[in-house]
Amino acid sequence: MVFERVIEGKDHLWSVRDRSKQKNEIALLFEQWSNIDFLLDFFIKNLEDLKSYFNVIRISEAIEYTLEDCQHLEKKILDYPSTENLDYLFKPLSSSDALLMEMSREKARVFDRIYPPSWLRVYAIRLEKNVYVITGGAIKLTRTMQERSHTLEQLEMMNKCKDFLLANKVFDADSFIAFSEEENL
Amino acid sequence: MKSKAIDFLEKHQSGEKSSFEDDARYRRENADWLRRSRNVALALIDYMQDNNLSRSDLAQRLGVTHQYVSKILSGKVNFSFKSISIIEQKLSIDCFRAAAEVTR
Repeated sequence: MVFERVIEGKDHLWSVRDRSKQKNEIALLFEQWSNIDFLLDFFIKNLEDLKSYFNVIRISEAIEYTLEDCQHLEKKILDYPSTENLDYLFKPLSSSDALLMEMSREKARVFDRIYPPSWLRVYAIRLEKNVYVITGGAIKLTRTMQERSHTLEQLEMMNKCKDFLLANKVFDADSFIAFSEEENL
Repeated sequence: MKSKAIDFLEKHQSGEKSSFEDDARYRRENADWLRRSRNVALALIDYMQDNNLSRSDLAQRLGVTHQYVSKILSGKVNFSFKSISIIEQKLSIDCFRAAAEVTR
């Protein structure tokens, strides 16, 4: 598994790069999310989820929300000060991830959209404070990631990346000791 | 001093520069005309949904290829007056009006 620094000269944000693909995961993700033809295909295939979970009937409306959120997320990822504070942009994927100080699975989304709630997700592994590796992302229209193959694939990608990093002992063991000591306080 | 994690990532780089920043810059610098192109694509999508048409059906109505339909639906086409006129004549969609809308 190889990685690319997302922002030149900055160490805090990285992306997984699959050499069989033209770009790294974050670049591919935002390219797809800003391509209406791709979004049209996606929402045609997932129209029932869109209607039943979000009560959105018009495909053009779903695409407009997606484009807006895509721009919003892109800005947050690239622009100061949010880009320097990724711990505010990303949230743990689950309650078990929230207990981890390192190597937690995380998600970023537009939290301030009220209706319909944003369905875009950027997935990452948090290696340490304010250091993240993006593994991919998805348009999540169902309650859980396991319910649809495209989100399940992203969950598996996150787990694969985490396992790779853990197998290579990419964490500071001292932090884990500090965490267990803190737990005993 | 760099952390162990950053040191590891640097040692496992692809060797290529990420295109994300350049792609995002392009989207921002061209946001105004891209929005107009996008609005035309969304008007076409409304037309397709209202008339229950596939891409192939739309291609047939416009007398163009399936690939060209995918291109105009990408929302990234700098339309010519000629192609706008063809869409307007064959589908009765007001493309200029759609393109000019700030929010749809």
